Amino acid sequence: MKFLCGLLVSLAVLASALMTGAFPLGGAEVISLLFSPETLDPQLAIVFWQIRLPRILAALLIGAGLSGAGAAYQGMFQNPLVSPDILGVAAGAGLGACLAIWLQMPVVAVQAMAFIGGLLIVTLVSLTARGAKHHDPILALVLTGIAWGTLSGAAISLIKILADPYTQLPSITFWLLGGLSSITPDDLYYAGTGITVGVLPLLLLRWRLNLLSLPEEEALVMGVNVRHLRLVCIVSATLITASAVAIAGIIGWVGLVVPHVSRLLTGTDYQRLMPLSLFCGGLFLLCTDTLARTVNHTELPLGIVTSFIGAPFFLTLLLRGKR
Amino acid sequence: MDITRRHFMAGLIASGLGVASPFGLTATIRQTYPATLPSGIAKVGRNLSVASHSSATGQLFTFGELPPPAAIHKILSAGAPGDPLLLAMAPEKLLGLSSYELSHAGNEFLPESVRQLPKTGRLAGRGSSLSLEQLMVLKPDLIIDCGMTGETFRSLAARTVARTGIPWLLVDGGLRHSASQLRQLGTLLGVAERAELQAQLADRFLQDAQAFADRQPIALRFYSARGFNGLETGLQGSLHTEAAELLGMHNVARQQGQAHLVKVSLEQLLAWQPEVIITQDVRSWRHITSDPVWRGIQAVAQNQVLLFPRRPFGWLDAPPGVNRLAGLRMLQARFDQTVALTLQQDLREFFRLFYHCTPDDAQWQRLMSAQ
Repeated sequence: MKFLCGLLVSLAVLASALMTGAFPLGGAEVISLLFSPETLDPQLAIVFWQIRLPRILAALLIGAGLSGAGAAYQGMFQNPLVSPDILGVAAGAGLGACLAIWLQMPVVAVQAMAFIGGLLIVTLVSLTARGAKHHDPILALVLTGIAWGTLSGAAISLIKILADPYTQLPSITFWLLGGLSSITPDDLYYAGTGITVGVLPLLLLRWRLNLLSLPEEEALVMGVNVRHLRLVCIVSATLITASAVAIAGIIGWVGLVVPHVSRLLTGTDYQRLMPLSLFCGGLFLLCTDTLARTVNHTELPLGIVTSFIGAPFFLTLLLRGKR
Repeated sequence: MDITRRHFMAGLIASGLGVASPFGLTATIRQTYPATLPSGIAKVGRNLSVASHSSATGQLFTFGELPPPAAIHKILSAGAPGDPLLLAMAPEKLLGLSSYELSHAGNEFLPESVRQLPKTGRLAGRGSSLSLEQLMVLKPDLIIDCGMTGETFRSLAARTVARTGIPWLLVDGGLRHSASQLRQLGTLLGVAERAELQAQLADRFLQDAQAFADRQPIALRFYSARGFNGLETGLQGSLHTEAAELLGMHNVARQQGQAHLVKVSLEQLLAWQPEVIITQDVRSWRHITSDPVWRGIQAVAQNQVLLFPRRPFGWLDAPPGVNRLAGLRMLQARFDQTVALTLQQDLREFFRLFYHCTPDDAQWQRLMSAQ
């Protein structure tokens, strides 16, 4: 029954996303495009295949990826308030992108710099945490993540101060707010590959993710090397988040809130939690993005929409005091 | 928490310090600074006065006692839109430019004295990059800010004057008021003769633009592209699109009661189908003219993606100052044969009067080829 409901809801969301938008391209045209495209204006095909469909697929992939990464991190850090940004990947990617915008680089370079910035910060975090031998490894990771993230945030603020307030500063602000308005099929291809490569290990190792919450020795007795598993988890989540941020900017709350909703629906067993998180994340971001692009002529930044929906939920969770 | 004697004493001392802090001064300003400025003179702080001169064509707000023109030797520009205005009016009195350094390659056509002007930083409340202490070191006779003149900017000026004692002149930065702006400021700074020549040129450009706008039976639909992928734009009525709108052109991006920068999607642009796309961002221009999906937009298909020069300041925007007069003229010339005939002369005249330079042919060509 639950499965049927989920299927119906997702089909309805997908259909409404496919058939609504700024360009007059409704249900009948979409069906014609799929079955007899030669009868229609080529412009409609461009809008559908080059703009609307890549955007919908990007929303599904990014939402699923961020939510999956969030679920994995929440288990690994044994903390329900952890998001995929905990190790500074979004701040690092933001710094890379801001630097590229400030240096007036083209679109591709902005995306590449964001991706590299994200990977670089997490590598630095991991190396620094490894150096802090006399601390608990998880605590060391969180603390170094916060430190490097804050440092990147400060560098972003410095670039904002130095940037031209009439040209570069608005671009930086729009980028940091996140959005899917400029997704191209190429973006989808590269980032989609990164996200898929990151999601697969999380999905395949989902049973083992349950053991991440156990002490190292206990897990080792059960035949699982927690250190290796933790590394796989970090690499996967970083790849997902860096790829997502590179093409869509910083989209908050998806990775934090959606795993909780999924946990409420199915419990804490990662066997079921991980697939459900991926599914709900994709659906949530598709809903918010459809909203962001249809309520107005101009785009509502996606980060704002997800925060408006996510923040109240997060606060409720916090007030209920459940761990 | 229990309230012990120690806590109580600490609280008492803290509130005493709070009352004696600079916030006390803020309270004084709030009391004496009126919400809407009257046309008379009102006292603010010690020995400082706030006066407001307003006229129908432009507005000039004076905070503090303005020195006589002969006593103004050092002027500080408070923000980016004031930089081109003050560079035009009184370069010899300018302490520097608030937001620009003109010494880099490509600006060789400017006089050496202008290229050497330092970047002093902007005064914009908490977003300032020039500290009040540094301001006291620079010791200008007058601070001039140009742009929006809303309550935020007026109260900011009043607060700075109250703390530093340096008079502040706030000029309405609307492009359509350029001529009166130049004349009023010229008189106050004692450079009325130079300002009159500049105002006459501004008047001519603006009147021609108005005449052109009146002649158009159907307004040309334009989109102003910004950002690295061209998907950022200024809404109708914003400072960023004022030049094109003065020519009677129809901004496709509009939202009731709003006039700021927004992001739009390519799908929305394909629905809008603008006839002309204007930009001064070479990355936007490259992206728009090379991406096949943009070809579905009328302006791109018909090669009407116009790239504007951006030296020494942006011609269409960035900053939204008198620099936009050049962009206004150039845009009109694109659609008005009469103006096109004298465009080169007019622009050279603009550069001579506003930027005090006469670029040679090679420099002029580099300047005009925005790519």
